[in-house]
Amino acid sequence: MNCKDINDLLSAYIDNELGADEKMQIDSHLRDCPHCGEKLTKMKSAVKMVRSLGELEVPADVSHALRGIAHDEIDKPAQKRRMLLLPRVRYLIAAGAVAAIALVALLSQIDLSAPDKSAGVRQIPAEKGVPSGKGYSGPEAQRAESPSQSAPAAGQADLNVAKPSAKKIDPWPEVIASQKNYDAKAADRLLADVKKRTENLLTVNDAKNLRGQITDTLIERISSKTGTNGELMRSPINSLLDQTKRSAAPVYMEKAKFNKQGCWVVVIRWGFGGVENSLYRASIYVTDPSGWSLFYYASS
Amino acid sequence: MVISKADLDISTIRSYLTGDKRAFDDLVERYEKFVYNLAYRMTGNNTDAAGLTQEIFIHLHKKLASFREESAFSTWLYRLAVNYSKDWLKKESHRVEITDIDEAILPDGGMLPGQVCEQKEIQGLVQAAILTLSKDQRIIVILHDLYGYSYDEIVDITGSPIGTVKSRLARARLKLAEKLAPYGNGLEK
Repeated sequence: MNCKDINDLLSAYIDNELGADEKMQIDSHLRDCPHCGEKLTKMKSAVKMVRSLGELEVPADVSHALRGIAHDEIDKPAQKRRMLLLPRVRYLIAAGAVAAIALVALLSQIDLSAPDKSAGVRQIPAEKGVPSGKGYSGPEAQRAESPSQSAPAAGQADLNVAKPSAKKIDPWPEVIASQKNYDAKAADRLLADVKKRTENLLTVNDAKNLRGQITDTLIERISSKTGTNGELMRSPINSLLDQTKRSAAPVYMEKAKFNKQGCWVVVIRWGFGGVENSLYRASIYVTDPSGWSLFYYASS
Repeated sequence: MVISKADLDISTIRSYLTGDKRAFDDLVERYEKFVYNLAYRMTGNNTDAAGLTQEIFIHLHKKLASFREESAFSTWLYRLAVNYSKDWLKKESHRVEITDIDEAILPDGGMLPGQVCEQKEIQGLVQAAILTLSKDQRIIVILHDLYGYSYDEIVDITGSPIGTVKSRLARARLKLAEKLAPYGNGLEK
């Protein structure tokens, strides 16, 4: 046996997986070859180091989330998920409740007084149909109320409007980056607004047949409009859609903040029944920047 | 009467398939540690490990009805978890390969070869070295050297021929030996 033959067998030699004859030949070679002897020592040391890694405990939030998988009821697809995924979030929200109320007031002032704050990074064309007065105080509301960014004329706006009956994907799913700092109430207002603007946009059939296309568009827009790698969000988004357990499609994503922490705001429309049925329900998920930890959830 | 783990798994799965949703939690209880550790060693970080673990169990939930009881459930689950992890890592966004162990270690700790390492630092070094292996090599090393599965068991889990398992393990160990040699003295501390 030469050194190369020995190299190929050292691993099995360590595991005592060689026949007596091969083992004798290696023993004999090792007595005369310090080079192979050194390799054996290094390999034994490496194996010992790997074995020293030990077993990791499963983080409590992951463990909790896993126990929610089988109980994710059809009628309340994400409600359970919220309860089970990250219980610590509820404490966070509860603990921040008082501060959040003050923050809402503060943000409302900021939003109304500084309408251009997010306009610089907003990429989606202005759209008609933004609820005035009672909509969420997000970019659309800011834009609508901004004296310097008046709403486009009806003719212009029509070019960009997703007409409910047209089932047109573009400009949906909408993706924007903003400086907005959401709290639960602002998220609920956003959900109501996006739900209104995407009413009858997609059917159960669309969700089944166009999910890949819609997600691809979403990923592409995340990359082009938020400066982050959209592909990183593919898996978390698919996970959200899968856990909805109904025909579902993403319609809105915003890179923003939630209680001053960086976040993604995701709105998913979902529904069930016949293929022509509309995705009549909508849910909002606020996740951390990785998309895997849930800060907030609501369904409409 | 002693009930084997395999029999217990079968009984649990049958309960689940006949409507007892809590039975799935029992499977989670039994196997979450294996899956999470596999996910962590394959990805090298908590965030990806958490995401991958959840995806594997969601996948298991979808596939459980197709378990035919032709092999032990544990082997079937390990195979599912290994294959899912490999597919997950294939996606561009999930690539975690590190080309040089020093890149993974030096920026944080400033640790140099030959320096005596603490146990935690050694674990970081070893994890970084594992990430330099190919996906297939990584899986064999994790199953054999970390979990202690035999060659035959790894053949069952991965579906690879025994010769392939042995050669992948041999190449992986040679690579790890070279990567970790400068730091090996830390173990003797």
